[in-house]
Amino acid sequence: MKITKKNYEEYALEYLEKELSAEMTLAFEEFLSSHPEIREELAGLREVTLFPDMAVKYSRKASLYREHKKRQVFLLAGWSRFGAAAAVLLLLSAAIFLWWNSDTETGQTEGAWVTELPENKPSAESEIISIPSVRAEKDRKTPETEKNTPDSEWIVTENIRETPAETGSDEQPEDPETDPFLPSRPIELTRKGEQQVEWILAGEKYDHEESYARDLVSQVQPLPGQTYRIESPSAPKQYKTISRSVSSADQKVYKIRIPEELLSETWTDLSLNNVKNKLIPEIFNR
Amino acid sequence: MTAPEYNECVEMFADPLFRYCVTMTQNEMDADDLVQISFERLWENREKIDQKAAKNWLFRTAYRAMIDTFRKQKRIDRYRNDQEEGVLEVEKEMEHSDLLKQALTALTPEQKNLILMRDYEGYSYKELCELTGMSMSNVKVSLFRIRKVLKEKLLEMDFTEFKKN
Repeated sequence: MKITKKNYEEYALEYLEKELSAEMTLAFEEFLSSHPEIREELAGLREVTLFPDMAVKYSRKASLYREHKKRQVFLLAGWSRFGAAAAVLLLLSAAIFLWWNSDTETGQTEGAWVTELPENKPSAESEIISIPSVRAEKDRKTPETEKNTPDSEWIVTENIRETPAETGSDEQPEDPETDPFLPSRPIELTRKGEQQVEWILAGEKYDHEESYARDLVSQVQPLPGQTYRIESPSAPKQYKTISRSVSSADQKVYKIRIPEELLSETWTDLSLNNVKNKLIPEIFNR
Repeated sequence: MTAPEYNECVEMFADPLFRYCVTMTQNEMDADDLVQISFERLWENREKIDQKAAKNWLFRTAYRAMIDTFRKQKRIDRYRNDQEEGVLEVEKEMEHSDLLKQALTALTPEQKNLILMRDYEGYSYKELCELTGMSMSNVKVSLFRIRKVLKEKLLEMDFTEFKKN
């Protein structure tokens, strides 16, 4: 294409930036020699090039990185297909209240701690809801010894015929703020009819989880027919069930099966308050 | 894009994006906001975005966010000026001593975007066509005219400085 006064700008840039072919460069210089006013126009334009100041760095880069566990929190928000879990979580929040407000005096303890296998669970009916694993296989960093560790479970036991305990706990946990399992402040009551719900959390990343669960149970004033259950998957392929005041009648056990990695990294981070304030409303509002 | 890929994008593009935003806005705080917004949106949309396309996506998002803010600010300024009937005299802050960067104030946001992509990020003409939606010929002519505007501005500033001294 011939270089003219109408189209020279397109070539001028390439000429300045030395992007023209040798042939076109000659042609453009020929054009410039016959148009001195354009040569003047181009003078000094090569110097008009911006250079980034490489010393300028983004100081808040660290705030942009994403932890994998944060991704899990995001994924949690996407639960919509677990409609059935809604009812369970309602019961769960009532259980939180129950523990928080229950009397610490446990003089009415009926029966000793009994260790049972899961198949002996004193439940008339049970429902298992599994929450899928959200951690990609490649991101797993589970030690060899933990490979066969079963998922942790939250157990919700519903005593259909029992009335709720009207108790308040005098024995608060010593330092609720530092324990991710403990509610940092009282949780609102959610109760329905005559249902009474008990919620027990078994987390396997914490050495103290079993004793913690025992403490929780000890804070609940037992009622006739009320069941307290702790399930601790602390040993691979072995569930430990600790029960007391076992009543096999009129109970309904709900299980929420939560993948171990989710519980250990995300679920516990949510804290009980977040379960109440974020997770439950999210599921219930769908 | 996976989470590790996203983090790689942070490593590779946070600094250049920040430099681009600082030059575009002439203000580090605004640039900081734009970088945060861009990466936040990249994270939210990571499922849809391939890592190879992330750089373009980030710069485009930052540019659009800046234009949105610019337009909003323009409306606010217009309203304020109407209200105050020109009582307030807007003083332009010059935050950079570098003459060429000061000369950038003579450009429109579109022109600034184009020249920065070319000079800072080394985009080819073809890539600039894809980024801006302009034709190849248009990209070249625009870049040439932008350089001319900058040169004129520089000469003007140089003359002013000379007069001051």
